[in-house]
Amino acid sequence: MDPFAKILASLPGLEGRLKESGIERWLKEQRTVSVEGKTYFVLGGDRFASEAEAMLTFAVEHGLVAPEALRAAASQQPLPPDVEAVSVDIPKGDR
Amino acid sequence: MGDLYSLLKQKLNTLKVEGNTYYIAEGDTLLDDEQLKIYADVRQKENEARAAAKDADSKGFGSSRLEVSHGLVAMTRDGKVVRWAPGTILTYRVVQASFPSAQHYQMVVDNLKLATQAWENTCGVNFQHAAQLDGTAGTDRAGCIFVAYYFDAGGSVIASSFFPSDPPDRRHLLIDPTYFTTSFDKVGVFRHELGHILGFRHEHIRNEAPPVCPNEPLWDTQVLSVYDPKSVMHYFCGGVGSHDLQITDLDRKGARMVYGPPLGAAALVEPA
Repeated sequence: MDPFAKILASLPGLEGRLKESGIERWLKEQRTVSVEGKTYFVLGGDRFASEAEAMLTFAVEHGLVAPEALRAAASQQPLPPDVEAVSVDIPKGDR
Repeated sequence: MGDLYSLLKQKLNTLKVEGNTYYIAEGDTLLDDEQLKIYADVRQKENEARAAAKDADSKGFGSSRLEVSHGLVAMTRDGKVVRWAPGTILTYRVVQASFPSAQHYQMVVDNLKLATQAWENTCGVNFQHAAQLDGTAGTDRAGCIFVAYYFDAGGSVIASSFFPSDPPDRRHLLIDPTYFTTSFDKVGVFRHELGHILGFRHEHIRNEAPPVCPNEPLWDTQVLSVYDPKSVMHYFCGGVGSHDLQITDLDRKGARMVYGPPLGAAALVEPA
């Protein structure tokens, strides 16, 4: 299952807020491409987004979800086995 | 995008340089036809975002934008930077049969080789072209980390890649037909896409970038250095960015924070 769909499903009430904000119409207005039988949304830039990812992008851009809630939900999704998340020390002057 | 692009094409003054026609945007920025399309696209997105924010405000949802204080932007998970596990060899294959000709295929193979070398010379990553698998039928990864192939996306992108955290079935580098005609440096386009594959986000999504540059949500990002308008991860927008998409000193600095120095740079020390 698409991890973005899992994130979306884990955020209570978000799907309702998305509907109220016109997500369905917005999705229909976006360009799509089909890659290996799956539909992706062309949101601008060079990344294709799954429907759930596109919905989350819309939610963030419209202030429908708090970044902290999104981060917490995403942190519950496992990374692929060959990928890891590490702390990086960034010198203060570089931020 | 089409409407604004057509409108700008009609309204902007043009200039002919060495036989090529350029559109003059923002007073002093010369754009060729392809760049004008990108420019129109980002302007339109910006207008749409403004309208959406206004609409959300009017409905009481607010329109808070995510802020970061401050050239490379890494993606994060749970506040930590996402990267390939140490020792991972980033193997890839290029699907020969997907290309319209042997020349197209060879150009991609050669340019990917140069682009992967550029990243290997930048930080501690290791790419490997599994050329023996290029003739394998289909577009699956065939055991590689990722697969590159020709894909007609209708010109919506020049090329498209993925992030390390994406599900493995999304690990493909798609190459649109416009790749072969773009005025951007073709090796540079791959340097940029490989940057995404390493986990780096667009540089122009930072607040310091010109407002005309396209925005993306920043909730899962971590800035690694000061804003770099010449970053390999920066689009050509708002009069900044570059056509050659080189890896800059700030990119190098940021990439090494995540992956360490180039593997070839490590000195072998014999135990005493």
